[in-house]
Amino acid sequence: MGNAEDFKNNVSSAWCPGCSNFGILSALRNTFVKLNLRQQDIVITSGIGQAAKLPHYLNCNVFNGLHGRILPVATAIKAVNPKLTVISVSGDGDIYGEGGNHLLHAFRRNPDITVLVHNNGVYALTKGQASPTTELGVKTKLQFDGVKEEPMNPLVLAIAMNCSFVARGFAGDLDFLSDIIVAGIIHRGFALIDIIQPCLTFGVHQVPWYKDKIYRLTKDYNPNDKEAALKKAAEDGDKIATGIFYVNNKPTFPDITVNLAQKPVIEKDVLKKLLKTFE
Amino acid sequence: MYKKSIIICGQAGQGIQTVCFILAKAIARSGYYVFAWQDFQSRIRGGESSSRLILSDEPVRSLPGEYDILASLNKTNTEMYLPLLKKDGIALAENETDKKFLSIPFQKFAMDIGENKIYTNAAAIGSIWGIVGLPIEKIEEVLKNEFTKKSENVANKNIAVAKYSYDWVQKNCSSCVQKIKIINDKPKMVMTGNEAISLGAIAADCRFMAAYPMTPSTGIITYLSETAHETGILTEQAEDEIASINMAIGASYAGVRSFTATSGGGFSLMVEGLALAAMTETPLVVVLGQRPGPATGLPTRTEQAELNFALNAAHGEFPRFIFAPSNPVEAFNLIIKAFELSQKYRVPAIVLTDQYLADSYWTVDDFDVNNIKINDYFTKPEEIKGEFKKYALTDDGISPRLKPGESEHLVVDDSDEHDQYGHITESSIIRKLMVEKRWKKYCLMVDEMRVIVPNDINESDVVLVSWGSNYGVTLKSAEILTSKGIKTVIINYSEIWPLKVPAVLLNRGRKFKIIVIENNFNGQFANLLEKEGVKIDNKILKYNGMPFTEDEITILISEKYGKR
Ligand SMILES: Cc1ncc(C[n+]2csc(CCOP(=O)(O)OP(=O)(O)O)c2C)c(N)n1
Ligand code: SF4
Repeated sequence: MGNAEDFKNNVSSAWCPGCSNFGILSALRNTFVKLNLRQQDIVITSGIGQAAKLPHYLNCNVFNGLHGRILPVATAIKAVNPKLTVISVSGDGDIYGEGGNHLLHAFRRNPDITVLVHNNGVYALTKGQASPTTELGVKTKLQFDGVKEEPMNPLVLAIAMNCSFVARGFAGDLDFLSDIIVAGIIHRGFALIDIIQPCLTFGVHQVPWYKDKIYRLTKDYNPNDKEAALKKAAEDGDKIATGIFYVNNKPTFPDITVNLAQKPVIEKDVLKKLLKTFE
Repeated sequence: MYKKSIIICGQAGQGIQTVCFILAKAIARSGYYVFAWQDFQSRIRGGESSSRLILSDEPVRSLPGEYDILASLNKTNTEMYLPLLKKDGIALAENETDKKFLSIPFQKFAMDIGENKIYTNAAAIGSIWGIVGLPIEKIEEVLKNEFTKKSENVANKNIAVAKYSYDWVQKNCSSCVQKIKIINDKPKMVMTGNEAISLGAIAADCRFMAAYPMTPSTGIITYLSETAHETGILTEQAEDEIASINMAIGASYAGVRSFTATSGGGFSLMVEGLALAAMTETPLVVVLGQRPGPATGLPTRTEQAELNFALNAAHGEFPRFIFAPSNPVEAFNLIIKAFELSQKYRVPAIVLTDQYLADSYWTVDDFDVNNIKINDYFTKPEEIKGEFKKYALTDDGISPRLKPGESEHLVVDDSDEHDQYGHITESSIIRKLMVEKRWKKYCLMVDEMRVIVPNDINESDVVLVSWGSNYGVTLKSAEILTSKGIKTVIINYSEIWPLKVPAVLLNRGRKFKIIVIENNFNGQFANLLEKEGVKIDNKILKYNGMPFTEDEITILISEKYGKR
C-alpha cells in the first residue's frame, strides 16, 4: 500500500498560508492511498483559478487546461484510456460560470470522471469578484452595491438533470470529504462533488462559522430517491448537509472500454474496404 | 475531349441532390469523370437550388459558364437558370407548354409505372440519362445499390420508372439524344471533399473526432460516425465548438491522433483551444471549412476569406501549419500530412477547405493507399534516462513525448507558462527559453512545405497563382488562355504555411505577369506574397458566394493581356 507522501512533490504552492485548499489537497492524497492507486494511474485535470492550481501540487499525471474548459478535456482523456482514473479540480467560477455549458452536457453524457469543485463563493484568483454561488447582497470591490443575481444551487441543478453522483463536502471535515471522494471515484459515471471551501482572503464566512451548521448525512438517508435528494439539496435553513445526496447508475460515455491509445494502427484493409463503397 | 454539362434545378426538399448523386455515380461507373457542385440555399424546403454536373472523358474540376442540358424539377424557378443554357442546349421540364422545353410528365411516369409520386425523381434521372446517351444498365446498377438497402421493391420501382422515362426520351426526342459509349476502365470513385478528408483521417490512424455541426464541415463527423463500427474511431457530437476542440486536445494528450472540424463561426469559438494546443505542445488537426462571412454569412455558399484568420487565430505567438487541399486526392494526402507534421512538431495544423471542395462530388481514380507511411512520434518510456521532462529544452525544440499511464513517467501539461517538467512557472528566464523553444521548430517546419513550379514558367506570358480549391478553375483557364495564344502556367498553393516563395517569383527581371485568383475581397493570399516581396501584377477576386467559372477568368485576362 502506498503512502500519502508519494503524491507530494516539491512544487511550491501559490495559495495563501492557511487556506482551506490545503486541507482538500491532503484529503485527496489520502483518498489515493485508500484506493491503492499508483501515481501513473491518475490524471488530475483542471481549468484556471486558485483551486485549479491543485494538480501541480500532486505527483500524478496532470493536464491543466483553460478557464472553464476542463470537462471536455477530462471526458476525452477517460474515453481514450478508460484505465486511467480521471479527476477534475475546479472552482465555482470555473465550472458553474465560464464552463457552465460543459457541466450541463457532462450530466447528460455521463463520462466516468470525478469533479471536485472548490466552492468558495468568489473569484479568488482575479481578486474577489462575485461568482455564480455568491449570496445575494454580498458586497465586493466590483459588486460594490451588493450582488443582485440569485446564487445558483449546483446540487439541485445536478440532481434535476439526473447527474449520476452528486455530493457535497466540507473543507473543514476532511475525513468525511475523503470518504466522499473515494465513493465518487469508485462510482461508475460522472461524479460532482461540491466542496464548501472557505476563502481566508475574500470569503464571507470562515471555517468556524460553518462548523456549527454543517452536518453529515447518515446511513438512513437514501441517495437513490430523487425526490428526497432534490428536497435535501434545496434546503435553505440553518443547517447545511454534507454527504452523498444522489446516486443514479446509468450508461457512461463512451459505450466502449478499449484503450484507444494502445490499439494497433488501423488496418489498410479496412480503408480499402471503405474505398470500395465509393465505386 | 468529350464533355457534357447539366444543370438540375428545383426546390430544396425535392431531392435534387439525390438525382445528382445517382447520375454522378452512374457516370463514374461508365468510366467517365464527373464533377458536381451544389448551389443550395440554407433551407430545408422550397427556394431555388441547383446541382451542376459535368461529365467528361478527362478529369473535371471546374464549372463552365454555359450548360448543355437544363433539367427542371420545378416550374417556378426554371426561368432564372435559362440564361445559363447554351444556345443549342436542351431544356427539359415537367408539363411545360413553352416550346423551348422538352415537356416530360415526370410525375405521371412515377404514378403510372411506380404507382407513387415518390418516384418522380427516378423519372427525372431516367430522362436526363436518356439525353446523356449512356446505356441504362449503369443507372439500374446504381439505383439497385442505393435503394436495395431500403427495400428491394423500392429499388425495382425506381429502376422501372427510370427505364420507362429513358426509353420515352429516346423515342420522343431522338434529335436531342447523342449516344455515347461506356469507357471500360478501372471503376472510379465518387466522393465529396469531406469524405476524402474523413478517409485521410482514417488512413492517418486518427482515433478520436469531436465536432459540432456546421456547414460545410458536417459531412466529416457524419461519415466518420457512419463508419465508426468498421474503423474503431470514437466520434462525439460535442455541445459546442469549444468542447469539440478541448475534447480533441484531451484525446491527443491521452495518446491518440485526434481532430475536429468546423466552419468560420465555430472556429471563432475554438481559438482559445488552438492556443491551448500550442502552449501545451499537443498535436491537433483542425479542419476549417470556409464559407462566406462575417457572422452567419451565406451558410451554404463558398468563399476563401479565412486565410488571414487561420494564420492569426488565437492569442500569443506560436508556429502552425496551414494546408488548403484543392481536390479530394490532395485532401486525402494533406490531412495525412497534417496529422504527421502535427505529431512530429507538436504544433497545431489547420486544413482549410471550402464549400466547393467539401460538398461537391468529385471523381477519384485512386488513393495511393499502399504508400501511406504513418510514423510513431512517441518516445519509448524505456528510452527516457532519468526524470521525464515533457518540455525538455532540445536543439530543435522538439521534446520527448509519452502517453499518461503507460509507464511510471508522469506526463504534466499546463496552459500556463511552464518549466521543463510542465509545472506552472512565472520565471522570466524560463519564459524566454520556452518561447524560443516553441519557435525553434519553425525553420524545420518551412522545409516540410512543397510548392510545385512549372518548368516552363520563364517562357510564359502569365502565371496564374491560386490556392486551395481554385486549382481546378485556374488549371482550365490556363489551358484555354494558352490555346488563345496567351501562354499561361499556374502555381497552386495547397501547402500554405509556413509560406514558401519560389525564387522565380521574386525575380525582378521576369517577363511573365503574376495574377492571383482568390475567392475573397482583399486578395489575402496575394497580400501574403507581396509581404514576402513578390510583385503582384493583378488580382482577380470574387466574393459573391459563387465559385469562379472557366469563362470569367479567361475573358478578363484575354481582354487585358491578349495580343491584339
Ligand atoms: C477565458 C478567461 N477568462 C477569464 C480568466 C480570468 N480568470 C482566471 S481565474 C478566474 C475565476 C476563478 O474563480 P474560481 O473558478 O471560483 O476559482 P478560485 O480562484 O476562486 O479558486 C477568472 C475570471 C481566464 N483565465 N480566462
Ligand atoms: S485567495 Fe482564498 S481560496 Fe485562494 S488561496 Fe487565498 S485563501 Fe485560498
